Parts: sequence; structure tokens; C-alpha cells
Amino acid sequence: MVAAAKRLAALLILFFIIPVSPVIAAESKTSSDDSLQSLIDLGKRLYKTGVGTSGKPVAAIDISGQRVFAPQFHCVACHRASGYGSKEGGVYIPPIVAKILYQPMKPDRARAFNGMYFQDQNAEMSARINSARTRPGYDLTSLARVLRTGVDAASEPIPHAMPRFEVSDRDVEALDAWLRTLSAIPDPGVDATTMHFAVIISDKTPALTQKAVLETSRVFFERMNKNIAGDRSRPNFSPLFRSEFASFWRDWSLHIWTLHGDETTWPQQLSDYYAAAPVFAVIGGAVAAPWQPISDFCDEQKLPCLFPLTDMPPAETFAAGYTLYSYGGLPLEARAMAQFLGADPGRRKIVQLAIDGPRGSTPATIFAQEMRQFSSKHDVQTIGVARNSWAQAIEQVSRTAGNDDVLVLWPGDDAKAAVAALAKTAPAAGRIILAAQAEPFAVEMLTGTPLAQRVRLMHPTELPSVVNPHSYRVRAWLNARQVTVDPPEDQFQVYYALSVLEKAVMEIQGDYSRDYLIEQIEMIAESNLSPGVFPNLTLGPGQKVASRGSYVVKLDGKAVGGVSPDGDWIVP
Amino acid sequence: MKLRQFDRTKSAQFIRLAIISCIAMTSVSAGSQSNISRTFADYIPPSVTLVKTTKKPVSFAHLVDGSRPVVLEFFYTSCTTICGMQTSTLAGAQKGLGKGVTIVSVSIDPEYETPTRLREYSSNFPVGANWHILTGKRSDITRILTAFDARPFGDNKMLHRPYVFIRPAAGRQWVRLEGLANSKHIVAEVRSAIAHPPPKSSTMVGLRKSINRMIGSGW
Repeated sequence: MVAAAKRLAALLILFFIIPVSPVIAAESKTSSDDSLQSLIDLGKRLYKTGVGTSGKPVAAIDISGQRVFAPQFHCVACHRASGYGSKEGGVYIPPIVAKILYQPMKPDRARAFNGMYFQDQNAEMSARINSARTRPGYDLTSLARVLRTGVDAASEPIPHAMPRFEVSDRDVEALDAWLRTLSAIPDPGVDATTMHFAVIISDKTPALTQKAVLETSRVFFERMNKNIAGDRSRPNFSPLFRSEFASFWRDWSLHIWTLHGDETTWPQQLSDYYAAAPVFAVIGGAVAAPWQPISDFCDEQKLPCLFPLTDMPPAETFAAGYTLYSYGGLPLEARAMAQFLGADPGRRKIVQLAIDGPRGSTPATIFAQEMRQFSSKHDVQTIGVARNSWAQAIEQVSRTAGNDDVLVLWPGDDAKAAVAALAKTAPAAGRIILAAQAEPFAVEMLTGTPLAQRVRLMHPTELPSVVNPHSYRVRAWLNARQVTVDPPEDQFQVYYALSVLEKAVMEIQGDYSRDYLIEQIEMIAESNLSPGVFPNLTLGPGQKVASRGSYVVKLDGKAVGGVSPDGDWIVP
Repeated sequence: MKLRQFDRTKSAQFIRLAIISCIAMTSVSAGSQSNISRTFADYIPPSVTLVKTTKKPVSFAHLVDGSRPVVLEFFYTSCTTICGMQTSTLAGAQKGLGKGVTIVSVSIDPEYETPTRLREYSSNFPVGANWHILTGKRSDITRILTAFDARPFGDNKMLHRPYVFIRPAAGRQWVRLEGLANSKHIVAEVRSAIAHPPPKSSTMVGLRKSINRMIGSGW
């Protein structure tokens, strides 16, 4: 009887507990997931901003033993957002991503090449890189020791380029949790055989630009894939150690994303393309509209977008983002123009004629703001102009123009009509400044006229009289593949984007992280790959615009290209 | 045969002696680090105008070629490796150097580094009144880098090296340090250079500097 009662009691207990226990387990799992996630978030905050788990900044101890809190001493400053480190100034910053930090280090020729190539600091560091060094994988104890004392997992001192940190045990735990997730999963767009890249164009892109972008990309991809096939077909033939890297190479696949119709539908179209076949990066591209929606999409997907052909980047492009721009476009022209006029302190009346739409209103707004910063004496008036109504607008302004007055034209893609109107009904006095789009038409229609003396043009590219030797190589390369070089500037810039991408893909080897790709491009941009469309292309960690200045030019019938500079390169 | 062996021993001894004397020449007093190379050289600072963090122009040649001791370095704010450490080192060295020493930091990424951006950067460190953080035109800064034999390979700023230049007095050569030095080392180097100045600049260099000052350009 007692036994039966016991059995019943046991059954009752089972009846109540069994259904409840998964709930308890699930709840405890959720709470442990939550606490792990919050630990990861705290670690991420420490890595990126230097703020410890206590909410206070963690002190870094520099080479001289001083406590420093500057952003240059946060983990991310050297090891970068990807965690793959950097190579700069003769110093090799090793990768600390999960798959490397927590694994025992074995001699690895392919990875060692990366360090050796840049390693030129001193005998001590050189020996460290060149020796077939091993170390155990890091754990909490050794991580804490290397952060606090600079002694690594193999009990060896690490170089003083790495500061020491006053981290608490909780800080180390949080950092450990974050580092275990850092670049732990390869980014989408690469599979076992292929790397996928996209080129974005729209149905508004002029046919010639479309042809330039697509043909240049196509022949570059063909050449790339032939080279890769060659390396793979001869695994034992290894000049320059190529066979070491053969396992990293993937075929390049080009996806063309054509955007149709209204610009408000573009984000959805981009999402659909991406969902159907994710790509690793977007190259070049030209949509003949503001780049903002595409830039937003790339930021949302953390998708590198390399050097699009656009004169309408978002106005504030210096902030972090995934799009790298060749130059600052119309916002840059507006700032440089303001600097050119603002440098002269005299009182002026400035009238801007801006085509309706963003290519007129954006630079006009920026120009007016910038002029106000220089002096309140400048009176800036902005008038919107509809397509093909330049003659009336110019005539109206001309009536009251004085010698000190300035007429600014932002004609967008209606530049030919604007310059033609100017040639017919120019103001009798004052100076006239035009955006760079008007240059070919101004050279053709205004050179040699009495008006020419008073006209200035923005010129954010290299002067026509300066020729970069690399442009001959690129032109010959395209000619050899039966690609017509027209317009050369667009094709050269697409070629630049592709050749920078090629070099960056070689650098990242098998580490398919998009952040790492961008970090490599920031390093490579200033190398000798520029075909000279811009005087200098230079990026750096966190920098997003490669050319940051503009010339102001005057019409000069005797000069190459019909223009000569009026003053130095202006960097606003 | 014997004679040849004797020769070999002798030459080995000579080489050993030469190495020891080289090491002795390059090491300095307390605070020195063994992995920093140290040489003397004559440099002609070009007459170019740079811009301070206050946006005011300043003549580079006047700043570094005056009568006061000068410490010069090149850096850029978004550098991922040595520049932050080098700035922090100079900040720590300021007290030891005293008010009589001018510190000059020149940006090698001038088109990105506006005076405003440099001001933000310097606000992270205790920058004293004798420390000039400068930017300028790209072509002018390339001229300075060329003059100090500090131009990075391929003009790619990513390949810059950790240099510190010290000139203790007018008419003297510069001490050129390469390597990541700490504050004590910098202070020791400056004091040592003041106490035992490097050789005098050559007459030709002095002449060229005077001409530069007169015509306002370098040659």
C-alpha cells in the first residue's frame, strides 16, 4: 500500500515536473544567452571605445609607462574593426580574430608572408616574424596576462608598439567573449569556388557610361579568371610562391544589378537582387542619380561599395560607411568654390542659378552655407532654373550685375544649354563661375570670346596638361582587349577600382571578411595604381573619400585641353 | 699558409673591434633603447608655409632653424600603429625637455588633416605651448619629407617609418633617430645633444640656407 502510494506520488511529481522542466530549462538558457550577449556587447564597447565594464575608460600604459586614454590606444585603432590587424610604419599588428587567437599557432608559410613583406622595424621584430614561432591558443588567463603585462601565451614578451592595459577580470571576460565572435563567420558572397561581385547601373545611366563600366569590368573579370585557372592548373609550378596561395583563389563572378523606374523603389530592388544572390562587394557602377539610397543599402548590409562613378555622393561622406568614393563630387565643388571666393574679403553680391533637382539644389545649399562661414558681407541669392530656361534666368540676373558681382551656375546635366545661353546673353559685368560639368561646353563655346576672361570653372580632376604614365598602360591594356576607350576618365576609374580590388583580395587571402577588405583597400589606395584621373588618390584608416580637392581653371586657348589653373589645388 | 691564417684572425679581430666601436658610438646615456638607430645628418629645411591648429600660417624653416633646440617628427592622426604612441611619448617628454625646446609635429596626410581635425587629435594629449602641430599643402609637406630623407616608399603614407629628428643648436647637424623611442630616451637624447652637440653644419649647407631665406625657396 505504502509502495503504491509512493508510486502514485512519484507519478504525480513526474506529471507536474516533466512538462515544466523544459520551460525552466528554456528560461535559464535564455537568461544565460542574454547574459552572454550583454557580456559580448560590453567587450565590443571596450574593443571599440575603450570603455570598460565598469563604465569608465580603461587606461592604456604607453611605451614610457604613462597612462593614456586617447582613441589611438583603443584595441580597434590597431587591430581594426575586422580584428585582422594591420601593417604600417614598419610595425606588424597581428590578427586577433577568434580562429587565430584561440588556436595554437603553427608555422604557416602563407600567413607568415604577410608579416614578412612589411616587416622592416628592427632585428628583434624581424627575428620574431621570420622564426617558425609557435604558441598555445590563448585562454582567459593568458589573455589577461598579455593585456596587463605584455607577455604572450608562449611566455614571450610582445613588442612595445602594443600598450599594456589596466583591465579588470570582468573586462578581460567581456573582451574574451567579444573576441570569440570577432570575424568568426566568413561574410556572404564567397563560396568554395567563386567570389561574387556586383556592378550597379540604372536605366537612367547614359549608354556610353554603361558600356564603359560593363565592358571594362567584363574584360577584367575574364583576365582574372584566366590567371586563376592558370595557377590552379599547375599546382607544382610556383614562381613567386604562387602555389602557396592557390587554395585561396576563387573565380570572380560578375552580377549586373540594373535599377529600374522611380528612385524610391531602388532600395527594394537592391534588397531583391541581394537576397537572390549575395555578393561580397559592389564595384564601380553609375546610376545617374544621388548615391544616397545605394550608400544606405550598402551600410545596412555591411557591403563594401568601391569607387562608384558619381558626382552626387552624400554630402557628409567623411563619416564611417561602406562606400569608398573617388572624390567628393558636387558638394566638394561647392566647398572649394566657396573657399576660392571667400579668400577675397571684398563685399560681393553672388547669384546662384541652380537647375531644379538635387544636382542643382545640393551644391547651391552647401555653397551658400559655406560662404556665410567666411563672411556675412557676402550676399548670396539662389534661384532655381527649369531645364532649357537658362536664357531668361541669365538675362534677368544680367540687368543688375556690377563689376564685383559673381554669377554661379550649377547646371547639372543641362550644362550644354546653360553654356549656350551664357554665350548669347552674358551679363555685361562681373565674374562667372561654373560647375565642372560645364567645362567641355565652355571650352567649345566661350574660348576666344570677350566673356572668356571673366569665366572660371571648377576642375576637381587632374589638369589636362598633366599625364600620368600609368594611364598609357591602362589604355594599352583596354585596347589590347578590343575595348574602345571612351570616355577614358570613366573607364580609368573603373579600372582603378578593379585593380585595387584585385590587390586587396590577394592581401586578405582566405580571410573573407568585408571589413578586412575595406581595411586593405584603405592601405592600398595610395599605392601606384592610380591612372591619374585625379592628382592624388589617398585613403587611410576610416577615410572614405580618395581625392579631396579641386582646381579652379580659366579658359586658355593655348593650353592643353583649353584650360589652365587659376591658383593652387584647393582643399576645402 | 700560416701567414694567411694569421691574416684572417687579424681581420676578424679588426671587424669585431669595428662592430664594438660602432655600438659604442650609437648608444647614449641612461634611458637608451638598443633597438633605435642614431645618426647625424645635415638637412636644409625648405622655406614653406604650414598651418597651425589655430589656422594661423607659420614658416617651417624659421620654426625649426632658429636658435632654440628642436625636436621634429612626422605623423598622421588615423595611423594604426606608431603615431599615437609617438605623440604620447613626446607628450611625456615635454616636462623633461623644459620650455626652451620647440617640438614640431608635421602631418603627412595633409589633405585629410585640416587644422580642426588636428586640434581634435591634439586634445587627447597634454600639448604644451612650445609644441606646434602642423599641416599644409601636400606638395610643401612632400618637400619637407624629401629634405629630411623621410619620404615613405612610393609616397604611400602607410609605409612611413618612426623617425625623430633633434637639432640642439643653430649651425649644428641633426640627430636622426629611427625606432619607437620612449619619453626617457627622447629626453636623454636631447640633453646629450645639447651637452655634446653633433658636428657643425657644412659651410655649403649654411650658404644654401641663407640663400633660401633670401629668395624664399629651396634648391
